Amino acid sequence: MARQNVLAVVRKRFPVAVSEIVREEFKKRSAQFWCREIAVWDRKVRSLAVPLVLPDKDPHLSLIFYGSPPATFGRPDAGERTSLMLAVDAHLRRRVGHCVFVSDDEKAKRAFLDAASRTLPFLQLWNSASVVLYVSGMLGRSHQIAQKDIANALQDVRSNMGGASASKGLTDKLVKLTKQHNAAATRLAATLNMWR
Amino acid sequence: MLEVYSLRDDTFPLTPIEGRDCWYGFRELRGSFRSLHERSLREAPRLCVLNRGQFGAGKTHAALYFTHTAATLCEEISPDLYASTHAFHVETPKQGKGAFSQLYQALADRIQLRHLKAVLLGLIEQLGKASVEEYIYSRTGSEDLAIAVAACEDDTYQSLRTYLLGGGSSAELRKIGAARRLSSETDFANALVGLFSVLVKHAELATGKPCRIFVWVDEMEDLVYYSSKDYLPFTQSLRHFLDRMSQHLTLFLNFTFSEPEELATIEEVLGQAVMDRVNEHVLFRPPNVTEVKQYLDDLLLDNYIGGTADELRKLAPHFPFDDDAFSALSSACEHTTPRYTHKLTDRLLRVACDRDMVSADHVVGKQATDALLAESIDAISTETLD
Repeated sequence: MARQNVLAVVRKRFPVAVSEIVREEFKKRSAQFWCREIAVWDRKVRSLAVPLVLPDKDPHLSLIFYGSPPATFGRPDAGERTSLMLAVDAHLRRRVGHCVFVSDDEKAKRAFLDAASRTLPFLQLWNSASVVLYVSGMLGRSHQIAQKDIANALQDVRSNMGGASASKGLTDKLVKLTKQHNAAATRLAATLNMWR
Repeated sequence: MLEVYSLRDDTFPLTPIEGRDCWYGFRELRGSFRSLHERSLREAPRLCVLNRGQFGAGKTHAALYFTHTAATLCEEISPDLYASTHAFHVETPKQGKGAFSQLYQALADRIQLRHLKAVLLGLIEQLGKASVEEYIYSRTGSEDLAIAVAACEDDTYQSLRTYLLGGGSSAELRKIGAARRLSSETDFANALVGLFSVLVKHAELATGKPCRIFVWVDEMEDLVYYSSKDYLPFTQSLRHFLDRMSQHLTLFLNFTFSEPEELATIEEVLGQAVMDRVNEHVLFRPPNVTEVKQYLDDLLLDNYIGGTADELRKLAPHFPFDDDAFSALSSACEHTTPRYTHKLTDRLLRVACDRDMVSADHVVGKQATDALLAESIDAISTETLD
């Protein structure tokens, strides 16, 4: 975006925190998308990974927000659960005022994150597409950003959704998302143009 | 198990069976494709058709059926313009990286490059090397490709084949006069135009008439999995290919979407450049009850074994279903897809047999159908959700 890596912008402009589990997940999956910026993130994530202050409270915290809690708390949603702990802990200890919670896990959102966000207004739920749109807006003040640039960045987000598991449902969802994302890119580019 | 009903065990396949050229019901849809074939065989300009439908609506089946029957259709129609056809069916590559070159490789496999040798040698013998070179250059705009193709001889063919598949050592390239390998997506688009042009010219020299090429590209919706880095070269190469093949080509693009009427959404995925080149649309609409009945009736009639259709249909008009059962089943399949109809009918027949709910003549009645229909629909829905 405007010759800048979106991840680099996030790294430089936002204080980022991740839990141990997210760090492990990052380590496992980063090889798949390896580039110079990912290497920088790898070092950053390693130094950032915050051990849970109150590990015994997981999964009790997320349990509060589950509509129908699972029988056992295993690996699924573990990243989202521990990140929620981290966010709540940082907020209640007054380390952060507001927290942007980035996750593309729709299942976890439906299961407990949406309820957590509604209950804890300091917690704002974003997905990767929101990050791209936000960064586009940020850069758009000082750089020429075309609709095509935003649309391409959003396409890259979509191309990584669902990993390697293509399915009828996912394909259908991505087709619908393409239209929504392209419309968002058009509207954002038009908005940015007004301030140029 | 379906043999107890005097039906083939694979009467209700979930995906088309390669080599079985059959078309059941859906007369209007078949008529649309027949018209498009007629138009393709009577007019030289390129035709690009977008086929839209739900998952399981029969797009791949149509692709296989018309790929296999294009030649017969050409004989039936016997157009003045064309004497023969070539029809190919390929899928959109799942991996975005080098997607057009993958599509090209798949088509090259279908064309069978090993048969191209005789075609090329014949062409060079009749026209001369310089004319072939000029012809390929005029079609593709690639001098390198034109020189390489026109350099085909008995002992250089293997090098040409390697070159056409994107490979070739320096020595091989030197042999055929190519300066570099085919590498970019546009190179492969040009090469595809070159291959098709060779087929067209060969037919023209052999019969006095060119041949029409039909290409079916299935699962175009998989473009949503491409990153922007891969998507643009693919769609640009497809556009380049379509523009260069302005004649003798009919391209069918199959697109699966749960809301096939939403053309604007589909356009966002395929891109403006491709959509602008689409001349015709075929919508695979979900069938009404009458269409389901017609479809099922044709399907059953074509799959009887162990007895003549007349004998079996004396036992029940839609054997193995009696009239009421057949109506109930058809209503349950209204506004669904042929794949759903297959799943439901197959399950119903198997469960009815398992639970001994059929008559002595192996006819499934209304009572059995009513008892099993809801359960079977639930089972299918669960399978789909899983």
